Amino acid sequence: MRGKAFHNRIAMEAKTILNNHSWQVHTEHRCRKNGITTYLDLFAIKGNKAIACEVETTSRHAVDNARKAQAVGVVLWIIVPTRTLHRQIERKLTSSSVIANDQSIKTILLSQLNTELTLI
Amino acid sequence: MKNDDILNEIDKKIIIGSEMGVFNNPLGRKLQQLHGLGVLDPWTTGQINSRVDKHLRKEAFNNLPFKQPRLHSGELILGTDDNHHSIKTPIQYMNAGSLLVANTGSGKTTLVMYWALQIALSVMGMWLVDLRKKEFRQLKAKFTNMGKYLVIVRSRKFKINPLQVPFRVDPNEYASTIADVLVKVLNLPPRASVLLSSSIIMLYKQFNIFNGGQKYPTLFHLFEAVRNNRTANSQARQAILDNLEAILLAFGTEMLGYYRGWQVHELAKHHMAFELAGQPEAGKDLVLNYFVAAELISRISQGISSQGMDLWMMIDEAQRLFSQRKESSGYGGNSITDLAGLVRGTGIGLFISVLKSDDLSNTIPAITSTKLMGRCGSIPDYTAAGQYMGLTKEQIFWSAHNMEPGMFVGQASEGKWRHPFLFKVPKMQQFKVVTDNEADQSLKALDCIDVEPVEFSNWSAIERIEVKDNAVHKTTVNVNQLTESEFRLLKAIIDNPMLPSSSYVKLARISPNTLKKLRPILIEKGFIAEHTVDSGTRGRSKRIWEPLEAGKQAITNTTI
Repeated sequence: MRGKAFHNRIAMEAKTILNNHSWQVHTEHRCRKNGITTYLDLFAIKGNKAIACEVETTSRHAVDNARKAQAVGVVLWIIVPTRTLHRQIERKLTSSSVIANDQSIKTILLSQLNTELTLI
Repeated sequence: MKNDDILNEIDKKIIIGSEMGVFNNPLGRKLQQLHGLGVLDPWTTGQINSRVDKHLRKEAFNNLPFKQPRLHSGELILGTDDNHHSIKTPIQYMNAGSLLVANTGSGKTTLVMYWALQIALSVMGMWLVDLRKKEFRQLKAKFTNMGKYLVIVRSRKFKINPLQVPFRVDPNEYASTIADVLVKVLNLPPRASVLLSSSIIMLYKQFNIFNGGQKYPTLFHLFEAVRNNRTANSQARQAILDNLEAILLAFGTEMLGYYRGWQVHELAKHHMAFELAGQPEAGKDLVLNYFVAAELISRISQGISSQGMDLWMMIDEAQRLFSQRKESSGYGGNSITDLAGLVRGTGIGLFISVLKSDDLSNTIPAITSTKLMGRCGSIPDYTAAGQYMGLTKEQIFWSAHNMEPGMFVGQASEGKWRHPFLFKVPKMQQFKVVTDNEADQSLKALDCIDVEPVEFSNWSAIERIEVKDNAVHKTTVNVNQLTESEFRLLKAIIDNPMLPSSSYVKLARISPNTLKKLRPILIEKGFIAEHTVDSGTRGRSKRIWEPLEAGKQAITNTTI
């Protein structure tokens, strides 16, 4: 992983949770579509379903990452460690005209990942 | 058979008059004598009746639930009664504990100053301890007018060495005494007392104190000795290091870095105002406990017993110092409360003033004999303070509604007349302001006391403490160098990074309390970074600790 220690730790924990739910997980996954290439922190596949996961420890790159995921047409889960960051990212995404109301983008707490996976 | 059946009117008048003290003069005593002999001519009965009736009328119109005090002789004017007559007691009545409970603005400090000015002339030494304010320094000009010199010691101007053996005290005896004091002051587990005691004795041996050496180890040396004692009980050792380090950093070498600091028995010969405002609570405890313990043990060793008061010690705003909570939460009780009960027999008068009675140690009312109550803030305070001196419900109720600033209810410690009485202290005139510079100038009076500072070099509270004395002790204490608990915790974080903070209790083999204390230190030093991960529900967040480069470097540089 190319992130900092805290980012990588969350990514590894998320990977473990996904694995526990029988998802096949790729880290630093290269995704290319319509001439656009993006790298996703985690890319999980289970049957015909696929989820891209981006771990965010700050709100700085959230919108950019969401736009890239939108461009390659994948379902994106933004995984965050705290509620404060969750609120900040939600606010940024809502205010962004391109990705507002996009159902394929979801921000979730790391601790909620397990519950979210059981609901799929 | 009732008394009424056998006593006639004049007998009853004699009994009432005796209780009221109306026969306490030569003619009165003659009247009693004549009554005893049965000489009851019209002149004698007339005299008896008029004396008693006059006082009964006076008391009836007085409308106070307190008796007129019969305290008319002595050197100390406590104040005045409602007829503006002075109420006096001998100064030696103060040769015991005194307790004053009064709310802020009730004239506590005025009372103390009024008494201090009178007592100053009759005692060799006087210690006025200001725990929160800087008011006693104002007495300096008054003291000078009386021919007494008031030394003002501001909070960071102390030069003390708690390990300095007091005058005529056996070092072995003092080692265990000061170890006990430190255990209580620093709130250490009981086991630490043994370790401290043995460490102090070891240091005394190293410094040749048992053979008459006069260069005493300091608390810095003690810290180092405990730190180097790897075989000692880990918890006791760690507790000493953690708590002692806080004191050493707060006080620094300017206060504690002396092989020989001020000798306490010399200070007991001066009139001094100690200003402890601005020091940490443990620091105030340490200074006061050391002074009281050292003077007390020195006097006991000199065989002083049941002597007249020659040192009057007044502690203002002593609420937190004599706190009940502190006494119960500590492992071995509150050291200064224990000592307060012992001072009387050694010629030390202790006066304690507090704002309110709740949270006051139960021991204090029991060991103080002179009790005073001023205007309090609440009925429970009046009730508690009133109960200390045996006030009736009527008296307590009256006090709650009628007390005003400068008015006090008192109970004398000695003498035949120990009923509670009401008195007022005069308002003190405006004092001359004493600046910090003038206060520091007053310290010149202590220049005659032999003081020897430790040769610390390159020392600062943040970076390092270095003890340089090749003749006696070759030690280097580096504050930046990690303590053992810091080392263990940091090592555990580096070896097992990014785990929740609670995991490191086991990994570092430290207590949760130590972990709690070390967390801000390691973060502040830039050794670790803390990240938060919230739980999904409303539970507490996890704290994830990431080791930083500075921390890894510190581990490499530290040798434990």
